[in-house]
Amino acid sequence: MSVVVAVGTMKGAFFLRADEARSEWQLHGPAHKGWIVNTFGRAPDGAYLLATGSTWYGAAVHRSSDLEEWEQVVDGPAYGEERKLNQIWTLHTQGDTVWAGVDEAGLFRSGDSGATWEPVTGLNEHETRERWEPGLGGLAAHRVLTDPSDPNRVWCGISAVGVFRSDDGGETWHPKNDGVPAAVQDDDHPDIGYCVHCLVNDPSNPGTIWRQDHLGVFRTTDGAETWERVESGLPANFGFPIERHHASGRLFVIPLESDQYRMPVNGDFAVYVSDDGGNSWYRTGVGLPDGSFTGVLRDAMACDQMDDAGVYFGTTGGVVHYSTDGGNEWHTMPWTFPRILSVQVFTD
Amino acid sequence: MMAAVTVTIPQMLATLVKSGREIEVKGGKSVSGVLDGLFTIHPELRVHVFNERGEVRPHVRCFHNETSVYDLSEPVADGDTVTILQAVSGGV
Repeated sequence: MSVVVAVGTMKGAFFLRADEARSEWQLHGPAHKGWIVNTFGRAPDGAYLLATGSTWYGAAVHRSSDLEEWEQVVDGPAYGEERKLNQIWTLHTQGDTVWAGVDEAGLFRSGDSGATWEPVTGLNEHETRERWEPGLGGLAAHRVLTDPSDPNRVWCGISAVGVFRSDDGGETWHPKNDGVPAAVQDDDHPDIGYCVHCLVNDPSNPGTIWRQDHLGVFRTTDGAETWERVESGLPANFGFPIERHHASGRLFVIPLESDQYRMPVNGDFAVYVSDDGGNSWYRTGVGLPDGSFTGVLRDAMACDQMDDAGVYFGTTGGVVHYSTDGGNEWHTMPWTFPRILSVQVFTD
Repeated sequence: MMAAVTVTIPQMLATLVKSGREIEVKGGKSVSGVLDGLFTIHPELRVHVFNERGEVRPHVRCFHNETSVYDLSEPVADGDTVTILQAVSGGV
């Protein structure tokens, strides 16, 4: 088995390869040198997917069979004249469908492994759409969750707007944020204005979802009908990524001090884990640098889902840290990259 | 005789389509026609040169011979050059 950690940065994609032991890493890349690489995915036909953006040239999806030779998709996600497509922030595959979440916020989907895309009109033209406002990081649909047992059930997280759920395969969408405080209250549409930062669910029980929100860490066990706060043991409830190792059920967050500062509390850069579904959290691990005031963005943490959980995250300072024992001991990759936007893991 | 125009594209776009920076485009009667010809050869480039309204992107500039061109209907002649430039802007 081989492990590839894909690192998307402001200046290209880097691929860190190792064997199953995950002790010796080789650097490949950059691919798409000079381009913003927002995220990665894997298509139903096995192709790797990568999304680029650019200050100058706009956004596009690319496909590769080997993470070396890439081919840009010609008919990628695109709005009509009425709306800009600035960035592609997530590429999520379930069954035969690839979902792309974009900024300005909306979803597109592909039924041919990313070759062509169609807009998800029920969300993109939602009745609340005209009231969606960008947060500091833009107006982004940045996370899609699916239910492996029910392809009609889909969740989408949109920053500064909230979580939406579809029960009919993406035709209609409904805000689902009860129990979460609004970041920006909208008097006309009180069901939007919720600043979700990241979502992860349990594939064996997809209606159980954990949420790192602008205003705390939350959990739902009923498919997002209701949310409850689950922050016991955390030094701060702000942060961006939330990740789960599915075999063990261990959850990971990286707390940051409030939305005003967005840094580890007192420079204590640490990963917190929960082994009881979010009921309690504790600081874990040795090996991370002391006195680090860096941050980790919402798509920049991933698990490899091997039995000895590999956990990887990249910082805004361009450093990748990883653990091969579920976060008990952390190591640092020997390279410094541009600002890291995305970390994803592929195992074959 | 069909006009042959040499189009020069930025290195980032040349790398993307695995070509050299200079691409010969035949048959275009205007700058717009030349760009259409370029996009026939490399359809991936359209989204990077034009925005969603079909306009040249704000931080991309198009030159006909040595003059910045805003009216893409400007006629071209055999041997002309069209240059697509990445603006000196940014900061990230």
